[in-house]
Amino acid sequence: MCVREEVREREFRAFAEARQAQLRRSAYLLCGDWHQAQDLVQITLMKLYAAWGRVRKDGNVDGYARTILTRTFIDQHRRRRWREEPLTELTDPPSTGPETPELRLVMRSALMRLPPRYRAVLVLRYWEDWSVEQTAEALRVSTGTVKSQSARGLARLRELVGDLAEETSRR
Amino acid sequence: MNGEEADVVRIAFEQILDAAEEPAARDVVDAAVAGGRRARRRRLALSATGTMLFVALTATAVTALPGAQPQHRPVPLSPPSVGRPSPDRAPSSASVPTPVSASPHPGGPSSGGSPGQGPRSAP
Repeated sequence: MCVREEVREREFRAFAEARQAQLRRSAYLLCGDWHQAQDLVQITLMKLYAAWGRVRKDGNVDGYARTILTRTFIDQHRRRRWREEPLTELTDPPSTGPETPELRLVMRSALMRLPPRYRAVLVLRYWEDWSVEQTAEALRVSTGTVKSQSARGLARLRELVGDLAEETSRR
Repeated sequence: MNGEEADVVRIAFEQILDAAEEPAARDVVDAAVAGGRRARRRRLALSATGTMLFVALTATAVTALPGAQPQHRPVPLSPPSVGRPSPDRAPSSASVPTPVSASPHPGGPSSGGSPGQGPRSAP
């Protein structure tokens, strides 16, 4: 391996080791499953390494990694939906045993019931704290779409949380 | 959406993450480096193949172009003093001098012009 390649790998490893936990948590918010989240992070880092030279030159490596993560999640979901069945049926329903913190599970369950695009918009806007413009660029949509999807996503989330909380309290 | 609602959503996300029992993470960096290297090599190989194909196709196209080969061969002119102009060939002022074109007067015997000849410009 040449020196340039070694430097490239060392730089990438430093970045990946520092950021993989954060990326995994973002991935979990998107897909709701730790194993899937792990796979998503691995694919993201692989794509990032393949484009490392260009990405480093551009400067915003962190933003680029999150963009890849979100796009990969949406692409995978689209492919899976086309081939198999909806993700809402694939994800495990939350167990609402007496020992579990129910409201949190209600929140998680409501988030997982949102369409993936809405979920991605909410995660980027309110978890990653990205602007409308940054989110639009990452998802390759217009700023108007981001605004409408985040408004609809939030309204739907509110509805779902209300319904699920009511359902849980009745049990 | 106001800032308060954004904070509520963020707190909800934090709670989701806190509630979820995160399993021990396996290291994905090695696998990512190996996969990324493979992807990069594949991309480089594809790009090299594409470039070679492009060069080969361009070279083929250039050699096959009609303008690339010398098609315009110079037609040997007949010697001016040999023989007389053949009747089946159109009169050419360049190769066969005729008495009409030699006349300096535009109103001379050739002013009517032969059929098929365009109007001459004034000297």
